[in-house]
Amino acid sequence: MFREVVWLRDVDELTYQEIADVLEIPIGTVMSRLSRGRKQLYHALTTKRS
Amino acid sequence: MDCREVEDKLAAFADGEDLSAHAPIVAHLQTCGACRASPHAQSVARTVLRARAAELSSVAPPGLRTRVVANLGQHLKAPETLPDISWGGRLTAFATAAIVVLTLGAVLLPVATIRSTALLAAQLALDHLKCFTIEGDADGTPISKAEAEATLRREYDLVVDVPPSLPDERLDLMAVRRCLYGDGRAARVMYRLDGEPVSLFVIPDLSRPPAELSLFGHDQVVWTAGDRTDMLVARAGLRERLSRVAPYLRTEAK
Repeated sequence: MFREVVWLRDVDELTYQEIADVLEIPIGTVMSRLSRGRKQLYHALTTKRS
Repeated sequence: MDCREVEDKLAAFADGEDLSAHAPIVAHLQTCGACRASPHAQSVARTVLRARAAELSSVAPPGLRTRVVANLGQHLKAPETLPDISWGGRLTAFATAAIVVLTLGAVLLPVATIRSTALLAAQLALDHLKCFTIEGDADGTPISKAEAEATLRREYDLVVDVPPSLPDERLDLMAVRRCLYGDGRAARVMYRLDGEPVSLFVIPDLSRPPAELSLFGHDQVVWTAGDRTDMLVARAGLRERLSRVAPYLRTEAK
């Protein structure tokens, strides 16, 4: 769920509004999923390295 | 503000928004260590993904690409939004072909490219079809480069280096018009390639990655030169011929 939003923003560079349109979710949900998804990725990266 | 409210806003800061303009969030971060670490974590994650975006773009999460393209298809599936004019039958067929070809053919491109370039291609292919169908290409006699450039300057206040006819490829310069894309600052140069209508759109202040596309029942060749993007459009089936004349047009359309 979070991964899609992170992917669309950081890999495909869609705007928040475009992501909201594509996934048919509110823009606030886009931002919260993006925030949580990025943090999950960060923790995965740092945990793996350590 | 509580942590949940703040978290929802922090994605924007990782995207470069100025944090100092949001005093309540700054105040919260000063008192909350967990939230204070979030912008850094998000920035690192974003940086990692951006650094590998080119290689990642072809391996999207399962189902995402299909879902996005299908959704884009819905946005483009709009015969009702097309002009209701006498040749509507052709336009409806065009729109139907657009959806099918887009859904089947565009899945390998990055999503951003699909959305931006496909939407541009949709508008310009429609413009190309409309222009040659309704307005025609003047009296069917080729015109010179000087005539074309003078017309663009005099009638539309557009300064464009128009590539002249190329007899070796049977490419004839037929007419020039203004294209309404981009606030009317784009030029449309109309050619006949072996008698087939071909449009060269010259769009200022736009950057698109180079691409050869087959969308909406048309073939398109796209390139960017400086601060301008050019798109060459013809009916499907002329891809090889377009690819042969594109380097010439790219060089001449300065």
